[in-house]
Amino acid sequence: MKEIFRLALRNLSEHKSKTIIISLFLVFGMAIVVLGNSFLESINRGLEKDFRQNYTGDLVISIQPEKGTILDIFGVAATANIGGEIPQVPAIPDLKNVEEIVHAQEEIKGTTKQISAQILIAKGKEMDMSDFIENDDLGFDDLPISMLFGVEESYWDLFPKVNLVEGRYPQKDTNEVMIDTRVKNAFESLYKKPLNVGDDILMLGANTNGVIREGKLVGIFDPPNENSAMFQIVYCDPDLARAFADLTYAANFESELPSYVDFSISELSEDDLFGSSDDDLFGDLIEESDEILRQDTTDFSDILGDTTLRDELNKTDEGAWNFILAKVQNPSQTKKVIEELKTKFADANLNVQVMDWKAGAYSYSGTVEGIGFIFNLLIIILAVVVFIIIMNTMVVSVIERTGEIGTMRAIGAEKSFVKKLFFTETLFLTVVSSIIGFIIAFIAMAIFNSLEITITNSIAKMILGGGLLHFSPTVKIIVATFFVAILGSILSNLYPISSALKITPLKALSKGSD
Amino acid sequence: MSVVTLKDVHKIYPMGKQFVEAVKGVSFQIEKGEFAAISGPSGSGKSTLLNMIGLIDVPSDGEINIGGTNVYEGVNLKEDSNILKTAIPAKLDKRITALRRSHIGFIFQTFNLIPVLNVYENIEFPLMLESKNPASKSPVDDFSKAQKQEWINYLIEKVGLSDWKKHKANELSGGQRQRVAIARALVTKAPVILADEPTANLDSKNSEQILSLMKSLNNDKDLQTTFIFSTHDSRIVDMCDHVIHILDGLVVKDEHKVGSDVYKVGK
Repeated sequence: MKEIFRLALRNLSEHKSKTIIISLFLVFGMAIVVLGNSFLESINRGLEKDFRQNYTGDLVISIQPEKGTILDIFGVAATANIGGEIPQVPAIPDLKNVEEIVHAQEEIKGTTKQISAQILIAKGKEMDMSDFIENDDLGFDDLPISMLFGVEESYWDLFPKVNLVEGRYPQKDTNEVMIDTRVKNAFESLYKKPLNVGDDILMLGANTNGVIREGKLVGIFDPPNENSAMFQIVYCDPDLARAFADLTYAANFESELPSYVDFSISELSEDDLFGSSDDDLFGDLIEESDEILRQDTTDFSDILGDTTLRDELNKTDEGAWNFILAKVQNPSQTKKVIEELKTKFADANLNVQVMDWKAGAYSYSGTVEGIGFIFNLLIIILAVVVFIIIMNTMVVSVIERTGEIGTMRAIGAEKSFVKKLFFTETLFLTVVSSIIGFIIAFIAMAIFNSLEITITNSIAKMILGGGLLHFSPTVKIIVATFFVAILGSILSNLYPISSALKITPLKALSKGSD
Repeated sequence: MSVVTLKDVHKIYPMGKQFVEAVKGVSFQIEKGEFAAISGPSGSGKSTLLNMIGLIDVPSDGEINIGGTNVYEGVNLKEDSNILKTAIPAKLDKRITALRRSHIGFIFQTFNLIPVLNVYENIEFPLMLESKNPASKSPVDDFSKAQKQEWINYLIEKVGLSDWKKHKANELSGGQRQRVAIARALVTKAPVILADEPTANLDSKNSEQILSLMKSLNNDKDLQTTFIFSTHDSRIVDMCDHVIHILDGLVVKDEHKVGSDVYKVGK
């Protein structure tokens, strides 16, 4: 083996062009793979730490999503074309039973409940978007659009790292809100108007439900992680959030509707109510409609005049919550706890799901996973190209060395000797190039990490899982990259080596044959 | 005692859809220590014969015996379609590769040195090929490291390249390269050295030197090496004590020279 190694080294040093070409591909390939995966690892770690500590806890419980949808703490996202409006997150069904099961789980350290909605904060008492529309330099992240989290008091025990900059936390059963400094900045930048603690604000539901509520700003906070990818947040009393999250009695319309309600109006067509569509727009529409209404026996004034039912239905459902967030005493046991809870919920026939932080924050983790997938897909394409180039270079090398291989075989080298020689050359090249690639990647990462480059654009932050551009290499990344490189180099040599082994000693002597 | 025996050896090559019979049933013996030549015009089949003796080509039929071993015993040469296509089955390849290392040394027309190795390493190379296969064992494999070094240095001195030990093949003249090839062929103490037109790429001066070197090695009682040439060089034929004349794939004359006496065994 020592002799083979010595011969392999000689061959590599003698065939410089081949050695350099393959080495360069391997060195830069290794460096790119390590850099890319270390960056993705850093994103994942940062995202996991941030979300588990501050937003999702270790596990999230919600209603089972409808088929074709994914549900996380930010709302419902469609994964298939479900048609029409994307729905709000429904309340957890049988909340009492669900909570009993959760609290009975020994490993759970603490829980809290949350309601999620999206809102836009308006300028004073009016919805004026003209500044935004007229200013081309403003982007989506410049809007005071935020996640509205309706939380109970235990939320602050579970997620204590919110840095209150000014004011206080919102109180129970009030319209008080506490906003992220980023919301304040976006508001002031868009509306050219200061926003301070004590100001009244107007909130508009970002969904199409058209909910508008007044609120009082009582606190301003900094997010726990200044480079967090997390969207801008407004915290409020759960009851206020329920209005935006459609957690009203009307949401449970059929079950809650009193028996005295007259459905006769719903049986009338638009033509019955407002006249035929065939009518001339400027004809006797009003008279004809009036005539129809006069002839109908339905008491419209009774239905439309009495708003008691409507008011009842618009009342928020005080017992409704979107999510239960929980932290586990030993986070490494999270997976086990999730599986146990799933079994218990299934046994109790409860229509709820248990998610880990990643699924609970899918809007972010899914984006990062998507980026990772695209990156690795590009790496695979690059690897295939490199694979073909290396294979081609090796084939050329085998052709160039036909005489040498034939001579070796003629003077007694077994096929296994030739095989070992080629594999030793390639593996040596791969190992050395990988080490050089890793060193280059580590130097680049050290330089990059020391610069502490941060990005401020919220969309970029969301895509990259945070504002700090950082690399976190792991042993797993290095070992996996190295393993793939070795495997790739072995595979890329299979064809050239099989060609080399087909060379008979006769070929080396072809000039001498008569 | 014969070191090489051929009995009714045939070689058929596929050529497109046709088959060409290059060797048409050749039989002869070469005794230990002979300085022998297979001679004939181009296309006569002499190189094919030498390749078959050197076990780098497989006969289509017949029997080849090297150093007392019937090489293709148990192999149905006639029926094996792989052999017909000049591909050698793996098991047979192992056997003949081992025999090549232990019994045969090659001197090629184009020298065929390994370019990345220097003179010493090129000569040492066959010793690096030591394998677990007992059939490939050479007497030199039992030498200690120091003895091997001493043996290689002895051969280098014998071929007159003591001052060129560290030089690579591309730094040597044609004659020097052929000397390295000779030393390499001798290093395993193989009983048979095959040389295919060894002087074809050398000038006359170098040719003479190489031939007299080989003759002196052949006369070395310690080495007792048999040399077999494939050649149409009359100088080599004149120096040989056994000449097998080939024409159109057949032995037309098997000529032994004993001193000045010449006796012929006609086909």
